[in-house]
Amino acid sequence: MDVTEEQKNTSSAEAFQLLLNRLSPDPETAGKEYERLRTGLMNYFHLKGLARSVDLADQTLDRVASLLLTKDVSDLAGFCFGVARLICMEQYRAESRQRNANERFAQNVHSDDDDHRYELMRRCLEGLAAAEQELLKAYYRNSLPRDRLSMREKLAQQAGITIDGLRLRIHRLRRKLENCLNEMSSQ
Amino acid sequence: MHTHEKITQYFLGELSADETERFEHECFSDKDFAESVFVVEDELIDQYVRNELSSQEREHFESSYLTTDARRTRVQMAGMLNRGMKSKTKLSAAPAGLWQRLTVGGSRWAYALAALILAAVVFGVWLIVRTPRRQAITQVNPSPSVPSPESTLVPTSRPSVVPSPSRASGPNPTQQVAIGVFTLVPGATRETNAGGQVIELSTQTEVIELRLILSGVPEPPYEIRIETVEGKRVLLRRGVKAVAINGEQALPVRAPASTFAARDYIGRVFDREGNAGASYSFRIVKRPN
Repeated sequence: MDVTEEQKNTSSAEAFQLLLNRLSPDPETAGKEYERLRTGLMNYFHLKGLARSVDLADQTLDRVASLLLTKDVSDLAGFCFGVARLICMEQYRAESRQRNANERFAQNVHSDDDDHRYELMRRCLEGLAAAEQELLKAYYRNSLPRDRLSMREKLAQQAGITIDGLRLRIHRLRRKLENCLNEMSSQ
Repeated sequence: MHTHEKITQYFLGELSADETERFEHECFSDKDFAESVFVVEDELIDQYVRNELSSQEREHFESSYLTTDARRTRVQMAGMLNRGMKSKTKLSAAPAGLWQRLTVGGSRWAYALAALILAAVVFGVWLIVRTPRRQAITQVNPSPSVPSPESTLVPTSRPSVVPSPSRASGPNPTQQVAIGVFTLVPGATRETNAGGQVIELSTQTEVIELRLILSGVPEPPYEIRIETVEGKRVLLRRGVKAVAINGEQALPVRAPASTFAARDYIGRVFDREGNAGASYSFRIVKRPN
């Protein structure tokens, strides 16, 4: 029997509700727990070197939710982690297949690939706030390795944060740029 | 709590399977830990693009870290940031760097300087190209104990790199340039032959001639592109013509040895329609004399 779109939607809404109930009977706490899980999954996929970590985290939670309809799961976080690992393997395989296909068919990789990426990067940078652009510029200002740390410490001091805080801020900007690059590349 | 060193070991693939799993689980369950891991990852990438890793770390980084497209994008991005967003492939088109374009808008002096550098580079390339016509390129072999670049190829464990039987010759006491001739065959990729084909360069070698054995590209003239594994282009030659070497068609391409750092490269051949043909994976190793 064919499953209609309506049945699918009902089923996924039911699964999502079941997932929230499993996280906590209190809706507010369940929402917070859901976000915590989602952040953990995004971090995991980023760690594993996969683009679109947000989509993959959502995909994991959707799959976990639908599995809860048929499976009895005691450790929900552990179960999520297991499903994430599975999805990660699937992504690696898909990426490898794609790479092999590119090699085999030797598609015409446009000669201006570098320029194209450079242009995308420029547009992503321009999309940052002026202060963020300035911070990146200052952080990556050319300096000798021996001067780099003191230059960055000074920069952190000026920003009123610790050097670790500065590095974290730079990481968040880089992640923002990476997401922007991935978005633009897929358009 | 994992130390900076442990985090680096994770990215370089130096942790055991158990340690790796524990590490990844901690990253999943502890947001603060994950962020500290990503900061170390950024630093490691920066060190890689600035060539500040040891040769062993670099090797581990390339084999264990550079395994996904997203990570390669991160490395490319870091390369651009660390170079002040200068597009190395088109120096003449982006002489002032993006930072300057975004803020100041570039200066005439920067363009003039870039034009001068470009002219010097063109003159240098012209010198290299015209030299063989005068039969002035010879192999400088200063001492019998120092093997020529050809003889330094790894002949048995890397069978896809074969020493070329011929070499530009004709000693000219007035101008001697050490040229290393290396023949690359298509097919070996980093996936199938970790590290690809190995080319050992002596510090005496001034010019490299790569001979790419032709395969699967029907229409001349050919274009050769050589890039690092992260996709940074180091060489582009258009209109290359095939020559017969030992009954095989090969594409010769010459470049100053300084063009190549000690790292992994991928060469690709394109036909006149821009269709890609074979690719050639190789590693440059610098041998101290």
